[in-house]
Amino acid sequence: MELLNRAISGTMESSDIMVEIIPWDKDLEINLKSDVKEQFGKQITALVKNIIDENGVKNACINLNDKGALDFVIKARVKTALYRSTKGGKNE
Amino acid sequence: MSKLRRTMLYVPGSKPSMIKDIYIYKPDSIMFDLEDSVSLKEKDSARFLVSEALQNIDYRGIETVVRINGLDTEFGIEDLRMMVKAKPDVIRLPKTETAKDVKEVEEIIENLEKEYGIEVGKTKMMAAIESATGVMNALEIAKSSDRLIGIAIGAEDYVTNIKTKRTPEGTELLFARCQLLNAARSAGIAALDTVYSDVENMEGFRKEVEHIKTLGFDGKSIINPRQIEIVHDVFTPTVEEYEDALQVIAAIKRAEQLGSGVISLNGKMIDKPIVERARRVIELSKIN
Repeated sequence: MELLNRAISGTMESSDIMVEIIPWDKDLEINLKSDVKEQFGKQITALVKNIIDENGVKNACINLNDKGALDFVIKARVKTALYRSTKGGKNE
Repeated sequence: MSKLRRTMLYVPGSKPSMIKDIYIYKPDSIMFDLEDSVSLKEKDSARFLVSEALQNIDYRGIETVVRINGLDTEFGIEDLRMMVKAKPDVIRLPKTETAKDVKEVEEIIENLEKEYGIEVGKTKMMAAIESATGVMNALEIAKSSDRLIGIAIGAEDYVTNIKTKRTPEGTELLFARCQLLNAARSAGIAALDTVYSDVENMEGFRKEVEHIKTLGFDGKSIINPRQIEIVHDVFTPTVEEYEDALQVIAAIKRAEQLGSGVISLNGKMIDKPIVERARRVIELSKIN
C-alpha cells in the first residue's frame, strides 16, 4: 500500500481514538498518547503496528491519541486512516 | 416459531461508544446505520467501524442488521462490499420502491458471497419502504426475494412524499401501515413499523406501539434503548391472555382424544385460527 498524503480518522470522544498517518521517508514511528498508556500502551502499539505491517507500509509516522478505544475501534480507525491516506486526503 | 423482531434498535455506524455496548440493552435486533445518521464525510469510517464491530464483538445471538446507503448514491456499492464480507445477519435497503430495487441488491450480494466464499443465500435482506410508490408496490417488493425477512415502513420520508406530516393519532400512516402489513403477511415475512422520534414522550410512544400491535405488526424500529422495555411489555401477552390460550389448547386436546369434530370452550366455538393464535400467545409468553 502506498501512502499518498497525511490522513486523520477518529475523534477525541470517549471510547474512540484519533489516528494521524503521515507518510515520510524514515522508518515507521508510532507515537501514543493515552490515559492508559502504562497499562495498555504496548498492546495498543502492537495492534497498530500489526495492521500497518499487514498493509505493507514501512515509512510513516503514526500519531495516536487514545480515549479508551477497544481493539475493534483501534483497528477500524487505523484502517480508515490508511484508506484515506491512499485516496487523496479526505478528512484532512 | 419465527424469529422475534419486536425491537430493532438503530445505532449510528459512526459512534464507537454506542456500538461497543449496545447489546447490553437486549433489543431483538441491532441495526447499524450507515445511512442518514452518518455524515457524508464519515461514510468511509462508519463502514470500517461497523465491519470491525461485526467481526469482533459477540452480540450474543442478537440479530445484526446493517442499513446501507442506496445504490443510487456513491456509497451503496462499497457499503455492500464491506458489509457482506463482515457477515451481518441482514442487510437493510433504504427507500425501496420496486421489486427491481431488491433484485439489483440481491444480485450484488450473491456475487459478493461467491467472491468471499460465503454460502450463497446466507446474507438476508429487508426492505424499507419510504414513498407512495413503494407503498403501492409493497406486495411485489415483499415477494421479490427469498432473502427478504421483512419489510419496514419509514414514515418521515413517506409523509413528506404524500404531502402531510406525522400526527399523534397516525391517521396519515394508516393506509401505508395496513398495506405493508398485508403485503408482509401475504409474503410470509415480518412487518416492522417506523421509528417514534420523540424519546421524551413515553406515553405517546406506548400508544403508538399498542396501535401497531393491534394492526398486526411484528415490531418497531426504535432509536433509544429506553424504548425497548415498553415495546417488549406491549408485545408480551397478559396473564389472562396466557391462561385463555392454555384453556384453548387443553380444549383442543380433549376434543382430539374424544374424536370430536366440533370443539367448544365456554360456549364459544374454537376453530383453527383461534388455536393458531393461542399457540402464538403461549410461545410469546414463554420467550418473555
